[in-house]
Amino acid sequence: MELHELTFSEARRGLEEGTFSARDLVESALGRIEGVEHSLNAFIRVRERDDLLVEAGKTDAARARGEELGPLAGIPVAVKDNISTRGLGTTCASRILAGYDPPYDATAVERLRDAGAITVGKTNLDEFAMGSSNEHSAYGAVRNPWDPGRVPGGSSGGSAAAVAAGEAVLALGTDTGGSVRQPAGFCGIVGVKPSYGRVSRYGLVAFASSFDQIGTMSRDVDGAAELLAAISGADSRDATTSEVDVPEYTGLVTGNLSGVRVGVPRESTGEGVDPEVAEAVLAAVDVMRSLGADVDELKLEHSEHAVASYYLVANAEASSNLARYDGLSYGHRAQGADGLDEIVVRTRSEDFGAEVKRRIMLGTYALASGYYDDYYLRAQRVRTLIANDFASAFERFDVIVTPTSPTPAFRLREHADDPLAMYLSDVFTVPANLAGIAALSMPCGLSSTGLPVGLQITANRFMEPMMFRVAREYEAASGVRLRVPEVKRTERDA
Amino acid sequence: MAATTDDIRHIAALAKLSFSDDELERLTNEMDAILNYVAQLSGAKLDGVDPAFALLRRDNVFREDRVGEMLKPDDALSNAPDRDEDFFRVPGFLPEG
Amino acid sequence: MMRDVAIGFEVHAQLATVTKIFCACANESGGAPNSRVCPVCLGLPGALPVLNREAVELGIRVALALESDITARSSFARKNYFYPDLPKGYQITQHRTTLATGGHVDVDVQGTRKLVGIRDIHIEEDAGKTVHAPFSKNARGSGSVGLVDMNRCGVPLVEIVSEPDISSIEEADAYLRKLYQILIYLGVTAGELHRGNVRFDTNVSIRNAVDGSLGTPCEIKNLNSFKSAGRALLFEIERQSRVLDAGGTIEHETLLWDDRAERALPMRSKEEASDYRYFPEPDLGDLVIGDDWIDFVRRFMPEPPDEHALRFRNWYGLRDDTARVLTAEPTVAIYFEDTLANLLRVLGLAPDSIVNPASRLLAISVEAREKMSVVFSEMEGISPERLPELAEVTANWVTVMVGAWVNENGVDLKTLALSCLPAARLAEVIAARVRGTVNEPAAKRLLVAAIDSSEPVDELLERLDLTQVTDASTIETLVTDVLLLHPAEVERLRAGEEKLIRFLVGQVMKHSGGKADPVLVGETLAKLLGIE
Repeated sequence: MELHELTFSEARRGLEEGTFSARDLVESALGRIEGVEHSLNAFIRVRERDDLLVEAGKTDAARARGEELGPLAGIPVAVKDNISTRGLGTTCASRILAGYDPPYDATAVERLRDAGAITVGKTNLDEFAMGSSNEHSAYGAVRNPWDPGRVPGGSSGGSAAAVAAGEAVLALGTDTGGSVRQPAGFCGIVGVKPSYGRVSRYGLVAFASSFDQIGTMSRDVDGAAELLAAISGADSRDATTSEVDVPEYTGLVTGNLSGVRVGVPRESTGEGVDPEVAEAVLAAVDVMRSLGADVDELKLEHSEHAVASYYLVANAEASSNLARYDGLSYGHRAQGADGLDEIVVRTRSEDFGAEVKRRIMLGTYALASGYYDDYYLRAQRVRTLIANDFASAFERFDVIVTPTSPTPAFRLREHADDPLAMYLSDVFTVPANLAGIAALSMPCGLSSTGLPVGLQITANRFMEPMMFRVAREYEAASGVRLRVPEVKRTERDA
Repeated sequence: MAATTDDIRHIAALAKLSFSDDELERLTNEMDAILNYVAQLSGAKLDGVDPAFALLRRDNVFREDRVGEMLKPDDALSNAPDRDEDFFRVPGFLPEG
Repeated sequence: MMRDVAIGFEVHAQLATVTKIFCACANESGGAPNSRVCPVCLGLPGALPVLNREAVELGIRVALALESDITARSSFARKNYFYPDLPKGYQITQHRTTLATGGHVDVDVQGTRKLVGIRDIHIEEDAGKTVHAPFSKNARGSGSVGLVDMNRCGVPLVEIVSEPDISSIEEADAYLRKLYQILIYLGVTAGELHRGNVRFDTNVSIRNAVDGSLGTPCEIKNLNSFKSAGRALLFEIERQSRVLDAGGTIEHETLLWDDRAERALPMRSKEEASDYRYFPEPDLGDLVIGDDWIDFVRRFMPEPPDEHALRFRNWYGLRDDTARVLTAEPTVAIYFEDTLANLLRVLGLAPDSIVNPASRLLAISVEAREKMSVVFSEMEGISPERLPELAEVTANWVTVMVGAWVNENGVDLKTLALSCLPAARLAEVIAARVRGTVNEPAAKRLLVAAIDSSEPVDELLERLDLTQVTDASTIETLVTDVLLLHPAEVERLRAGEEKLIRFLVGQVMKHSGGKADPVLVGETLAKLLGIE
């Protein structure tokens, strides 16, 4: 087995036992990047090889001296390029932030460093995290490592592809409506969207402030859990972080889920869900049942309205969050225009991509005078109903299981002319963001065409330990931890 | 409610965006489809349901009134597309009035 | 034709916090451009606001002083509009639910009392500043560029919105000055108008002469002084009157006042002015203010001016006009009260605890007032007439004697009080006069000497030989000498030219080097001359 194929747990054990060094791990990641980046386009920027090796060397030296090391010491981590990193640039895959280098680090990035992780580079995404395919990037589309003719999902497509392909052991993504879980599902890895308020958003470039959370990605449950533990907790710079204690997220596999109540919404396997996806999810539920879990059906009354509510509220927030990009005090400024207003309008019109402009327009519409009550306000009221549905569901269940997406990864450009169809593919992921609860996606098998199928496990707010427990037991019992795929060489058109 | 190109043009002005006529037409159609889709929300029973404004937020989160770290002017201006000494320079500015 | 007008104000005051409202940058003025900024106030991607507790508490003070209802649960909202010195593209303010609603300002308009209603009070962030620089190097296009300084971005503001209750320019002036006095009194703002610490926007509408209904209001922004507010109101009332006189109608407009040109010009296009797309700020939780918090703020809050004047009358028996003069500015009021407390102590009429440093630091907060009232209740050996007498004497010293010195020397009272003439020192000077140790002219010399040197007051008295001569035999000798030197005047006085007594007293005083007790001199003269 090659080093880049190791999961987090295997890599950490190898480092601890001295089987290989952090330098070896970084070398292997860099080698893999060299080998597959041409096909995948997962990274926007990779750090200088020498810098990475020096940093890894320091970790190795500290380990040799017997110093106490952080929980992620020497582990190569990829960071989505909408999370601020001083000196590494942060573009959000947008022309409007071309060349922007933040003068500060995101709290999550500081904590990553404190935990000893080695940031290998910044990953590609849908521009400003708006998209479900990673095709909307000023730096070109990202390809799915399992089939480069298909999308990796989005918006954290770069992070998902990088972890799936072994270019990094762990990655940070961001999840506003499924942007960690859906690409994790499409790429066959574990992706976690923590409860709202669990991880500081300070330094995360805002898309939709009441939905955004930084999430974690790994090829194993423990990797995602350990990374989440490292970045979680209250932050005095983010007034929306919770002061609820951060408990242990990792634990021992017991082979036992007895007493754990698992809810399966009817629509999980209903209309619009690919039969192979439905089958894989039901099989996963059977595994949980065999471990002793109590499984029952469940109805979430208002889930049919989730996508509509989400797109209105999230984009309303986005229209305001993206008002700051005007080319005046940072970022790119359009040339050749005369007059302040013209420069601003031209900068924004030229430098934002079509999807971002569409969402700004929708969000501005939802807030505009005469539309506010019918769109923004109504959507916010529906959001309350959806949160209430979950509150009652979690009185009866510990976790709720659904597919992550109705289908496996779709083809590039499959939804290019139909933005609404793309939005509807988020039907299983947006409810967790609306309600601010915890959810993860993990692989539960491969389709007949060899594509990963994602299983979503949702738990109540700050009930991450229960979510991880179910995931860990399922992972161990099912044995469906996916290998690192062969990445076919393709010529990208980006 | 059907979106018209005039509505969309007005929204674009608020959002500081401009579109060509072709773009505007396509955008109007796309927005119309999306607005039609979200119109389903009017079917939800919302009597006595409050908006979720404060659903996930904590009340009364404060900082104490103590000076913390500030940026050096060079860091503050390091990303400026244009500057004049320690000022951000913006083009085509005419003071109001 | 004279028309009835309805005027309302939005008064913005920069709050005197140490840091900005949503970040830890210093809240100061001056200094190099863009030297007090951070990712938050620069609106950098990913930065988030966290509310400064002190800004809220200063806002609560204003609400309490204006007797507004403090909202138990208020929230923040984003006001979306574009401007180069508004780096986020929105201002964080309060909209649907504000810090407080209702209340009033008690205004005295040339002797007539008027209550101006308050609609709401909210806290929000200030924007940066753009300097128009037509000649900046490398200017392109129209050649006009703006230079943006973000130092002011995020400075906390309290905005006080009045009802359109004001019906004349005089009332408007009285309202603004009164509100300003209150804000200064509360210590919530530095209040330097020329620095833009306090700024006014006004809205003006003209009442229909026939049905009494209010016309469409127009808003004028950018008023930076009481004078410019008055001028702008005159300009706008005349402008609207002309339109109406010509049979026109008033369209809603937002105008920007140009103080130099003394005119207001339209500011924003209607499309943008009409749609700020307010929505709840998702980065900040609600502001929940309970009674405990309000009581806490009240406890440490300086007394508003009207209450202060009233208390001076009730506690010290001061005359109403004296109390008002003393409370025009908090510095004077605090200095007076501090001096009086010290005087009572020096005269042995009050215990040392009356000038407990803690109570002085808290100046005129509830806390301090309670402590002082305890001391007063324990004061013994002071007659009901004695306290008002000493209070008037102290008031006279502070406003007249010290006031004159301050005016002549161009030093402000606060500086004087904090450096060479602390209240305790002034109290010793006054005590020397009250006890009769010095006479009036010597007291004035003593005051100047006390300011100019740091010697203890009793040593000054000795060194300058200012102690009043009150010994009866010494004075009798002095008087006898003077009578012998001026036989002609004595003759004329005896013949009924009474005013010559003053001449003789003056001569005795001169003879004594100004040290004789003038009252005793007068009595001795009368006695020796046998005049009743």
